[in-house]
Amino acid sequence: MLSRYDVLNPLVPVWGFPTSSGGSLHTMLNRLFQDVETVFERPAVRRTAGPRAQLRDTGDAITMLADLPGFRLEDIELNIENTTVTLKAAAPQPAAPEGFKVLVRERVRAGVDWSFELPYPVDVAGASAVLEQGRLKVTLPKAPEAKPRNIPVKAG
Amino acid sequence: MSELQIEKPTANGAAKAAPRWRVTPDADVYENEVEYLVQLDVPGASAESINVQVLGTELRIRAEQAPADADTPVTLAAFERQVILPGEIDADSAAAQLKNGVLEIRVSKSASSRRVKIPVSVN
Repeated sequence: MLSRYDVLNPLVPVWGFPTSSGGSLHTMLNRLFQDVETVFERPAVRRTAGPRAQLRDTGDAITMLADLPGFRLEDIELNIENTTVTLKAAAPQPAAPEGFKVLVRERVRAGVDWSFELPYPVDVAGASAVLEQGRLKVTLPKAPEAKPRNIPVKAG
Repeated sequence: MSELQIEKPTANGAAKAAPRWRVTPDADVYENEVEYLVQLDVPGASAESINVQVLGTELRIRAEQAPADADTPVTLAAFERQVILPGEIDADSAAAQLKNGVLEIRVSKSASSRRVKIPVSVN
């Protein structure tokens, strides 16, 4: 496996002088491509018709902010199963306000159907979500095994 | 190993100002006999950050997202939009309301741009 330094500078091991321990150029190239493949095949955050959103690791929890303007509380459905978060929101295209004629209509109120994988297991029982002025804030505390821990170091 | 660079932790965001992300929000414009109605998506905007300016027949709208937490250094959006209305308006009548992250602006048409029905008398 290449180190992080090698991934950033892949030409160094390939085009440098072959060393006695490095093997032939052919094997090094093969190894490089395998490593590149593993990097790209890693399951990343998967997006499908998602809103503008941000995910952030705050140490003990993962917080998500998603923009859902015009959606009502009852339209929104948030589901967590293991490490898969699914956000669904149904929003019908609103008719023109009563007595008004449409001049310009740009706002697209399509529904939301978005799911993605979290990088760590979370404590679903402690999760909370708040909708404030069209912005959804979700707080997902990490499962105890995923929380960072301080290891005390003793003098030997 | 000496070439490896260690990233400095950026978790301490309190000292760092939250960057603003410029967003041009989508708008719907409606009219009836007496007024125009403009709707804009400004999710997370705080009511006090909203600034609506009327310049002739043009509306200039600015708004900013409020931080979700005092110490959250997430990228916040700054909304900026200009809407040109098709007729003269009465600037003093403009009123704005924020609901579910949608800003709704109502502004009356000026007397000169209203469609007036002229009564016809028959001799």
